Amino acid sequence: MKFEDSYFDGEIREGFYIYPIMKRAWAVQLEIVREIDKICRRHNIKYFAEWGTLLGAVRHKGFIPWDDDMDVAMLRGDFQRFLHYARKELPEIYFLFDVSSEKYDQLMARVMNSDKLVLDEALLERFYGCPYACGVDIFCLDYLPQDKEEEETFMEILTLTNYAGNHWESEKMSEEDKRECIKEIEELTNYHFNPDLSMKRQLLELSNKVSAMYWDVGGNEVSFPCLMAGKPYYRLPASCYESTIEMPFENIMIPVPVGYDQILRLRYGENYMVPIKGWGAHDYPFFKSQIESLKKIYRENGMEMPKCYDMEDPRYIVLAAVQYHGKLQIDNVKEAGFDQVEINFSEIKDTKQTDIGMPVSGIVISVEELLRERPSDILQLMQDTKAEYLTLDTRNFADSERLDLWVEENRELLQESTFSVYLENGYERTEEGTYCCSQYSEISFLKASVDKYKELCGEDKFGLCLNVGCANLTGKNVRAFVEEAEGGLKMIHMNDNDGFHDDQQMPLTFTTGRGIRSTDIFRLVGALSRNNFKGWIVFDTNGLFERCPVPLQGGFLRLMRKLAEEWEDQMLLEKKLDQPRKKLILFGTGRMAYNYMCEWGNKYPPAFMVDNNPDLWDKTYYDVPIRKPEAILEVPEDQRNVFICNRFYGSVGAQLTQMGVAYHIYNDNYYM
Amino acid sequence: MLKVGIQTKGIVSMEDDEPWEGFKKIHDAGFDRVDFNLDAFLLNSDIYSGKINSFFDKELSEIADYFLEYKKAMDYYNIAPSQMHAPYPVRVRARPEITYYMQTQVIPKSIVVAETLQVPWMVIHPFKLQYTHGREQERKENLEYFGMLIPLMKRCGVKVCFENLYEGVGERIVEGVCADPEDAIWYVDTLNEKAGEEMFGMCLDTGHLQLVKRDCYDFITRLGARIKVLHLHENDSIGDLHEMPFTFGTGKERNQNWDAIFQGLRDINFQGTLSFETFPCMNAFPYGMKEDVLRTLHDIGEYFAEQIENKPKTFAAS
Repeated sequence: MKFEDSYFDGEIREGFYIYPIMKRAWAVQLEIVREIDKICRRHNIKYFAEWGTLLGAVRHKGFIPWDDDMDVAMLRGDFQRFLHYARKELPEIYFLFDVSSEKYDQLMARVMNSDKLVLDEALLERFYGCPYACGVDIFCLDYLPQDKEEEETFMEILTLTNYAGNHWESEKMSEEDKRECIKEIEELTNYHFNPDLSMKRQLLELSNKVSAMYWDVGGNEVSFPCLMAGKPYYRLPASCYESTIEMPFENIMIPVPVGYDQILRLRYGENYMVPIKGWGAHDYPFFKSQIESLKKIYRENGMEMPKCYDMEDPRYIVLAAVQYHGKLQIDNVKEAGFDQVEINFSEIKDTKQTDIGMPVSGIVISVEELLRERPSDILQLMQDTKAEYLTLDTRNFADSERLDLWVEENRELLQESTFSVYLENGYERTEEGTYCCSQYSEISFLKASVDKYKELCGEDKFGLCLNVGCANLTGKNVRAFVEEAEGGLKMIHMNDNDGFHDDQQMPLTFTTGRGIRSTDIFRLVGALSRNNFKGWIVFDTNGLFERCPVPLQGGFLRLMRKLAEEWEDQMLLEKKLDQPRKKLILFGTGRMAYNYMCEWGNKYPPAFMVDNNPDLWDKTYYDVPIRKPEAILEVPEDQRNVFICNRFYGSVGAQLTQMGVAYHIYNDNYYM
Repeated sequence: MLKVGIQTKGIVSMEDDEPWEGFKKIHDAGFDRVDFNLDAFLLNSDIYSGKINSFFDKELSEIADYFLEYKKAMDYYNIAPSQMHAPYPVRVRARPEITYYMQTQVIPKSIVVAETLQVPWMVIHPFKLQYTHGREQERKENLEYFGMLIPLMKRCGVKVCFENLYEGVGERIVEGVCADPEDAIWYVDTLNEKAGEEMFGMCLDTGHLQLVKRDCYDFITRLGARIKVLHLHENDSIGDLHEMPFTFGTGKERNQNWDAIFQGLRDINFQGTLSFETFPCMNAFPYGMKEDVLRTLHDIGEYFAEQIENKPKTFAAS
């Protein structure tokens, strides 16, 4: 297959960064689909894009940006014929697995380009430089029995065989459970298991046979019966799969079922065309374990694995949460798009009520409370809530020796725990009600403390948390805080105040004049972006929730969620700029372009700038040529990287859209 | 239900003659009224510093034509202006040439723009002279000038609102013209008497009330039906921050007594537009969030409307 070189560049789609290695893995899968397609065409076999591949085809004309694999489906008859022909006709370098394959325990079939890491140079070149084994899953659609009673029995058997098959080798099933389950299945099916053979495999094969029971009878409804238990939306009218429509998918055409709209509505809801970042059932990327294996091979050979084969999990940069408050309606939090809430220990210390109707991101506790409580109680609380972090609030705490001692005394407990501990900047509130710095306000002291605790308890156990409100009350330079914290910064507590009171307000609402922000939140986000921050941003805006009427919570929460998304997008700026195969073009030659050149000009120099002012055309700015806007069109679409670099985002954006030019926005407020 | 409005400053472009995008955002957020910021075409900071741009030098017809595109965009999105804010200040201390220009060019042309856009109420800041020339002189000059505008106002079908203002003395905020309800009542009633009909009303600025520590309920109910338009916003009680409601306070205590404002508006049977003057929000949040900020403000407006309309009356408005 032919791919432009630029296809393999890292790319941001829908605000999500796709690593170059993922693009290569995508290409391998597209190649595999092409091989599947050849066999299907040759033998008149119908296949359909399925799951994320179907949604991707309809919504994105390609992969869902945060998806990593391809799935297709066939009706049982076609599925059996495909397996028959594929065994004979798939080129030798490919592997076909199905339920009868040894060491393969899935009901769907899978075509792979390798069964191990691709290290052979010729093969590596053949598969677009991707060293990881890639595969395309082929799901089999079966008819459902038309008689309700029959269906009940059918589903009962499948539920049992599936459950037993999936848990046979796990601790979830006791020996007695296994005996009872097998007995029940044998009674229902009249099938007799051979105790000398692998039970897991026999259960798998039985599931497959039961699923296929109605394939030659036909019916009005189809499904993946083994996946259907408890998921009625997997049941679909057979008419949806009567024929196919070809749709573009990356650089190929892929058949989708004629009833794709009905299928997608049933599975993902009426608004399936609106992208929502979500993750599949497996690790992302699917080759995560292969990366580790490859690293090991390189290490064993005294080398470091090339960076181009590596990839971090980019599914999150910012993990956003909101701090729970008694007046906060959890439904409002959920509706605003937050997945988790943080609990302040002081809110629950009396009731110990930890079930607040949402997953808990972490617990914040004042150091004084921490020292007062029994460590085992804290540990229990962390376990009960499945909290990922414990943040130590150092407001009005000064006796660092007591905290040091606590960490030392509880080091084993901390080492064994699964959560991280973050030390937060604080202040000292005077008797007069003013705020002044404590040692815990200083990044140098916080960092030294964390380093000390890391040495005691392990590198990953401790981190730093920046409380923006506290920093504001003590007149701290938040940008410097981030820069000095370096990789140790794991969390931001985001709230705003007037500089005199710990108001815990919505960020960006304290302004002067025409909206000049009183708190330096833009530069803070810029610093986080420059320092590749990856971690929690938790809105601890209890002041707002105290004062704002309950019916308005939803609006403010939505605004916070949007802020988190905006900041996450900003943290992708460097990845957007780092497109070596593309020409960087700035639209604008004014103050913002100047600021761009100061901040990024050396690292990511523009190929040229454009401006609507004809007087500037053919001149240069910082040695960068200035051209008319139409010059953008002289650069092929896949070779240009256009940024609006002036504050007229709306009108210039409209101009570019009219020209058919995709663009990013540069906002120098974050970096100047 | 009471209508909810937002000022155009910070949303509708004033610089590149492209109003469509801004009005679309306003419409999409749910607003159907706007406070048209004509003052964005001649900034008060420029007037104070003597840097007057040439916008109002144009011929009257040219200026009126300029706003036809704005009118078209508003009509398209079914948005009506509930009010307009005229450039200010109209009298500039120690700058007689600018004062002359403001009074003879800018304000009369602004009234014509209001006619073009079919704005029922135009907010003009009365002159602030009480600290330098005394309150008597302030009233005299205001009466003279605004009295002179009556024939033009009548011809154009445009009415004028005064606003409760503050002044800065020694970096402290102190009451200004119309900050005292009796002062405001005097202006509105005297000028209406002069006009022979209701041509003047009051613009209630909630943030300014807060800055001069006025009892909101008392102010509103004393002004009563004279209140025609609103500037809804709040601040930290120190500076004129024009921020969104419920921003400031300590613990459960809100800096602004919104409940008193709701009750007051309910008791005077206010039927105008709940208009927010919160442009700093639009600048403070990132560009890509303008729509979200607008939506939040609209939600607040709807909540206000509900609060005002559902409150039991405690005062029989005259």
